[in-house]
Amino acid sequence: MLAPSLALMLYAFVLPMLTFFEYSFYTFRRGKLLDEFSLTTYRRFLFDAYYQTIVLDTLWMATLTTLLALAIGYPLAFALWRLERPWMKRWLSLIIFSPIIVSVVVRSYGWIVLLADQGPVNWILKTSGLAAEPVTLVFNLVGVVLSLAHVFLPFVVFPIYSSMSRIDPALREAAMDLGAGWLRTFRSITLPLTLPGVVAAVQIAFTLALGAFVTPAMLGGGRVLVLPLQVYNATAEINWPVAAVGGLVLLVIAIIVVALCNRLLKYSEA
Amino acid sequence: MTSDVEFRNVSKFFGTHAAVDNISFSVPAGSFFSLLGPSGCGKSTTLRMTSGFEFPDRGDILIAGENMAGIAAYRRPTNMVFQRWALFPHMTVFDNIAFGLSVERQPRDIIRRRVGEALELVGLTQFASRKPRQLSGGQMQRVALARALVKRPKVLLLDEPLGALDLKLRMQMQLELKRIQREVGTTFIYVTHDQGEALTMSDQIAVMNNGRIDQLGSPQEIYDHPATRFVAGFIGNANLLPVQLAAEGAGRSAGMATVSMGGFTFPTQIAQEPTGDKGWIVIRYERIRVGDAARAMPIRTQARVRDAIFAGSTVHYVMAIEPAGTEITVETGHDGLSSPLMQGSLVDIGWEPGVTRLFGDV
Repeated sequence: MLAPSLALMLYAFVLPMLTFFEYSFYTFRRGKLLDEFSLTTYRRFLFDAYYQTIVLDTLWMATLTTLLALAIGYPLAFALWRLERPWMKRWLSLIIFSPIIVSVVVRSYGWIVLLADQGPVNWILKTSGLAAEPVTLVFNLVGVVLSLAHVFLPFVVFPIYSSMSRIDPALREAAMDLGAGWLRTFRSITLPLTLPGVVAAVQIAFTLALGAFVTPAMLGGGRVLVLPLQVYNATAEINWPVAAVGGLVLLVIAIIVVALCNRLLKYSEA
Repeated sequence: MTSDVEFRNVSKFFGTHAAVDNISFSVPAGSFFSLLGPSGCGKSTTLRMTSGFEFPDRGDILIAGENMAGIAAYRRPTNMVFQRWALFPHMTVFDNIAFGLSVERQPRDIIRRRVGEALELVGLTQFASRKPRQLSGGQMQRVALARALVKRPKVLLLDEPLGALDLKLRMQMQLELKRIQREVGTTFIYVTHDQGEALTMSDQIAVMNNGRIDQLGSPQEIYDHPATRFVAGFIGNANLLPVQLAAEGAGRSAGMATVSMGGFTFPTQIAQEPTGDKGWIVIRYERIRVGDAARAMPIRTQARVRDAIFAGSTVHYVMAIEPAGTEITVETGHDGLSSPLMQGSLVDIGWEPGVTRLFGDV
């Protein structure tokens, strides 16, 4: 039973990875790919300020996106958990799910319209007197982070919600019975017991943000150069070594994040 | 005597259903008070209203003389031991017990001392650094008790805390609970559906049925003089037999009436005056004497053994009273020497007039 899927994995995943790995040691000179062993590309990624900035920007964008998604997602999960009427629960989960129902291109255009200088958000800011000049919300990091956090909501809300619904309701009553008010109960009981859900959410949101391509391309306006875009540009120039090392860096970061989260998960469940 | 908890005409509705229907009682300070009844009788709601998890729709609840209207659970001088103990799974035994004190912002050394005392009280000193999932049911139960008692509540509320333990452990914990209650002198309000538990531990029992208190009294009062048919049937093993009352006034004297059951006429205590000429008598299995012992009884008849059920220390007989064949269950002690009565044999049975109680036809 396992053999077909293993074969597929081998052919579609492991083999290309190995090929990619091989390409990462090739040389790219004057627009040409040369079959010449070198570590130049690795060296550039490690020490060249241009590539360092791209890696750091990617991490920064993924971090901001994860934090924003958590900041919106945790309260939403809490609301979903506390809602008593089933129809309200149904509607709220539908709303939380809606971003992944809509195509990424359509959704991105929606955000462009919404966040544009003449868009509704800026109109509200202007008429309410919060901003005299239009605030640049799109074609920069702000737009990318907002849009990504939006689409990651279901991936953040549902793991957290599931860890909340596993909490025995008597635990919160016990905390209150022992003199803890709402806030203390949340801090000492609900939050620690939902940490596994939070860690799982971080894991998903962060790794998804690392690999995001369409959203940074459309909403970044060329000003948000993240690794997947760099990889794409490199392949367009048939600069296979840069594309390969870029891809490998993404993979290594993702592995580190997943490993860290797994460690945290083990710790938070102990 | 001062009372620690007082209910005054308290009602609680869930929708249109009265879960608690106009109940009043008071619990003397330092006593072990049980709320006993089948599931859905309102005992848990009564407890939850005392702790502040539910609020009454009508009436007043006083704790230590203070009206608890509008006072939230976390501000009440009560603590609760939950049904499945509700220990915080991510905290150690020590932190679980310390939680209530750290919420009060007690100094660290006081917390350490009082948690230490509480651990000692329940005999778990060496388990302080364990997590709840590393404990047995009995140990978790003790942690829950220590966690509630460490706050020195005026009233300790216990919601069927022994329900999840096996029988042997349950018996052992009953004794231990009673010892701890005597030691700390705190008022205990104990919710249970287990009549044996309530009888062995309580100073007073309130038997609840359909949101009302059917009877409130000492275990012996409730066992020997049940006030309603429900109480008689719920506590202990009792026969409920239909009877015909003798003609108006005939055979009446100070709380006694004469009744007949298929031609067999005898006097009985009146618990509840029947409205018509039909009623029910209640007689406990073990109050009926059999054979030689029956011959010394003022009330006597003969019955045929239909079935014998051997239960170790006792034997239960299902018998048919002659001649009408009314079925009655009898419990006799087993001495380990004689063999049980044969099926189909005709034996004498009898009892004292004071042990049957007459109830109305409702």
